[in-house]
Amino acid sequence: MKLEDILYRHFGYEAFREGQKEVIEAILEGRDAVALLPTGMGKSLCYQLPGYILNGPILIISPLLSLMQDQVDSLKRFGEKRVIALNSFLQGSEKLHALQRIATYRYIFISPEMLATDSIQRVFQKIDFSLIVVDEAHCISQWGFDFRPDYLKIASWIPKRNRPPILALSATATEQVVIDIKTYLKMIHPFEYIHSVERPNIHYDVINLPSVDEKLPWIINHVVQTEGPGIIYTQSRKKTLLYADELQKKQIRAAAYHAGMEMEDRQFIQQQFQSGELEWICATTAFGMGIHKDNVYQVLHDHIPATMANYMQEVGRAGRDGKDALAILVHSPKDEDHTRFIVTEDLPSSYHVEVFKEYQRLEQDPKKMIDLNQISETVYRVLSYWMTQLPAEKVIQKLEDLRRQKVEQIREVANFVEAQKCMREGLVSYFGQSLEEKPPNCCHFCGINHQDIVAKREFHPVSRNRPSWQERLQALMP
Amino acid sequence: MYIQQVLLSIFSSMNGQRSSKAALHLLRGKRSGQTIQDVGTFHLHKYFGILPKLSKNTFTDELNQLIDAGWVHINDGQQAIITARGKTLLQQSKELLFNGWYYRGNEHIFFKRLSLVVQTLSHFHAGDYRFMPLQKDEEIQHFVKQFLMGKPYKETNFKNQFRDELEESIQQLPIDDKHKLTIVLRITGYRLSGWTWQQLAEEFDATELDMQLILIESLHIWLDDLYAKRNQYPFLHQLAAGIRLENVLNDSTKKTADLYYNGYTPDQIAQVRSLKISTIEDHFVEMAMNDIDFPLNQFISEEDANKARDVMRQTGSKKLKVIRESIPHLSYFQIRLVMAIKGG
Ligand SMILES: [Zn+2]
Ligand SMILES: [Zn+2]
Repeated sequence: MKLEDILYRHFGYEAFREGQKEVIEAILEGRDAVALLPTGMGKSLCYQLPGYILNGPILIISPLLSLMQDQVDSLKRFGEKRVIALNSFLQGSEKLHALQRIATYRYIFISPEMLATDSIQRVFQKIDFSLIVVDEAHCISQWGFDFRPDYLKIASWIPKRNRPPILALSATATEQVVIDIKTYLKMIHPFEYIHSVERPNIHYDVINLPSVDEKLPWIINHVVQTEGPGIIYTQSRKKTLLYADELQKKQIRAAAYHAGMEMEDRQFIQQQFQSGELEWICATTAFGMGIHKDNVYQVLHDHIPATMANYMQEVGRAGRDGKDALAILVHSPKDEDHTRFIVTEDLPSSYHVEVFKEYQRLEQDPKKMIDLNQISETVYRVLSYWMTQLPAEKVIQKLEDLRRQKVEQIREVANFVEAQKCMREGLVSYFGQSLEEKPPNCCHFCGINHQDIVAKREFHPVSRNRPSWQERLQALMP
Repeated sequence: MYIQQVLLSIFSSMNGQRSSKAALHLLRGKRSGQTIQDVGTFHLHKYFGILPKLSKNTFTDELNQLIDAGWVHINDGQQAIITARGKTLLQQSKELLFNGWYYRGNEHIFFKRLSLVVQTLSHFHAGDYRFMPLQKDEEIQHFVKQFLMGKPYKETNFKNQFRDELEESIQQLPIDDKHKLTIVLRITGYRLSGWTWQQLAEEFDATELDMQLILIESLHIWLDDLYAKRNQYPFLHQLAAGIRLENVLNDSTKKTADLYYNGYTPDQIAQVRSLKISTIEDHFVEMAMNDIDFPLNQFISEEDANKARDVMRQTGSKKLKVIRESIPHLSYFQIRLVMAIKGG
């Protein structure tokens, strides 16, 4: 049977989307594969479809319970019953029952933490998996935004001989991250599918200002004159509040978004942005992960992002519907220093290594460092991982290397921003791809006219009518 | 200003006998002997642990505002003393009905359960079975799944029944409409976003912290009501399961209590548990505060206890030192027990 027939019969789609078929064919040939496909481009189909061809269960290692549940639900929606998520809620007889018949499932989802447990290891040793999938594979690299030490342990579990093919999936990864994925997962000549980074409908601009102080007025003025919806990316919580406040004063429906906000508040902001109740979001890099909004037409940066991958991911949130969108980076001379300061602050220092060693020597849990505010939780995660992998002197060396590399990555972004050449070319070539043609209003260097890309702002009234509590309750459950 | 009223009320109860920082520990719900003892001594159960994440900066800012407004002054011993103007203001304000001692932040768990139930019913009613749950917490999701299981949750009838119960229950609560609205604006539904604290604060011309306190107080009042009227609101009562602390002793204190009621003396308990005697004494103070049947007279004669009470009444002081000076043969431990005893 043709792949297209299987696609139609089990998933109801007429045609494959970009990259899916190539990846699936590689897997069916028994090859390892790395697939970088943007969110919403049907990454999961790359392992879902082979489930109807290969013999034996497919194991999917996924970092978040909510993501797992999403996948399980989506498979069930297509009528698949042989799917299970092994998580901590599976208890007692239910768990026993599931484990006894584990080999009969078509898809088995599991978290890396759960994978490491003895009971699971014992059961899994007896199963002939037909494919091992590592979802959100960038978590394995400390170059990624969400490095998860648990991911590194995946490799130690994968059998060395007669193992099934491995498929690594991610939405974003630079060359360095791809190298890490391949190395840590011990992949053998994998097939690589990397989605094109070129987005012809995004137009790139850099605005050079003589001083930092001029950024805020420039940005506010720009937002007042042009149509959104848009996102302003900035570096501190304080600045997200500042931008939001200034915009609100100009009668623009804007809100701040940063990691220090309550989880509910963050989701309310996402909902409101998605529904159009909010026009602008002033955010730190925390914003965007779970957002599916096609009509974002502007992404503004008031700083140099830490890596090219960050920049690409953030501007990539614009123009998902294919319409023209504008990405402006507002730049002033000291920006690189500032980003360097912020980014390297997140790395453990040699002092942290010493303190860690001291706790170990006293046979105390070094985790105390977090409670005593000697270190932040994120920094501790990185430190404790390396301390279990390398002797202390080597860790100091390693951290020094990391620091140097981070500084180098920032340099790359600064080069990209300051270069006297086409930004589109710079972006595409950074990710090892080449550019076929340039659209009109290409970029800062090639020439760009904002009015051709985004419309002049019309007045949108800021009305939020306060319902009575009974009205609200009725609206919630009509 | 909610937070300021809370602080004024605390300082007024402490009556200048504790440093202002004691109020911060109280609001954060610090589990130390001193704070627990303060709760009993000054009858501050209401406010215990209502703001576990209150930062020292915020606390200091609010305190300074009270001082600037002339409602409180700080004396040499860093104690906050409520002024006459502060007292008048407090008397004119509506009584606050927090119940921190029994909920200790669990009110948020109740609210998260409720919010997920409403979100689910709202989306199912609209035919959307694949919405993103607002509550990511696995335990909340699990609880709600269990709650809905066995109920006809996809039926319009059930949704209406649940909504009506919710409306009736909120309707009769002794809180302002503004507070009722705050509750429902923090809940989301199909194509209906929630309001952030910032948005609520702007709408009601208050601070974000005040809006949060309004929700917490409303939830305490609501939960008290649900626990009092078990059968009237069966769905909500189910959602409130396990939220109120029935046994308020902490685990370590519970162990001490078990040993004590099995015949061990405080000294023996300290030895068996390898804990300092002062820690064991803290446990006894906590027991005295919580257990109506605490056998006070095994530690101090009724006569001495009455003497101590007299001194407290006459001097108006609840300072250990003052009482000890008047009745030198009593130990600090004995005095603390008298002060802590429930209803004392
Ligand atoms: Zn412009
Ligand atoms: Zn160009």
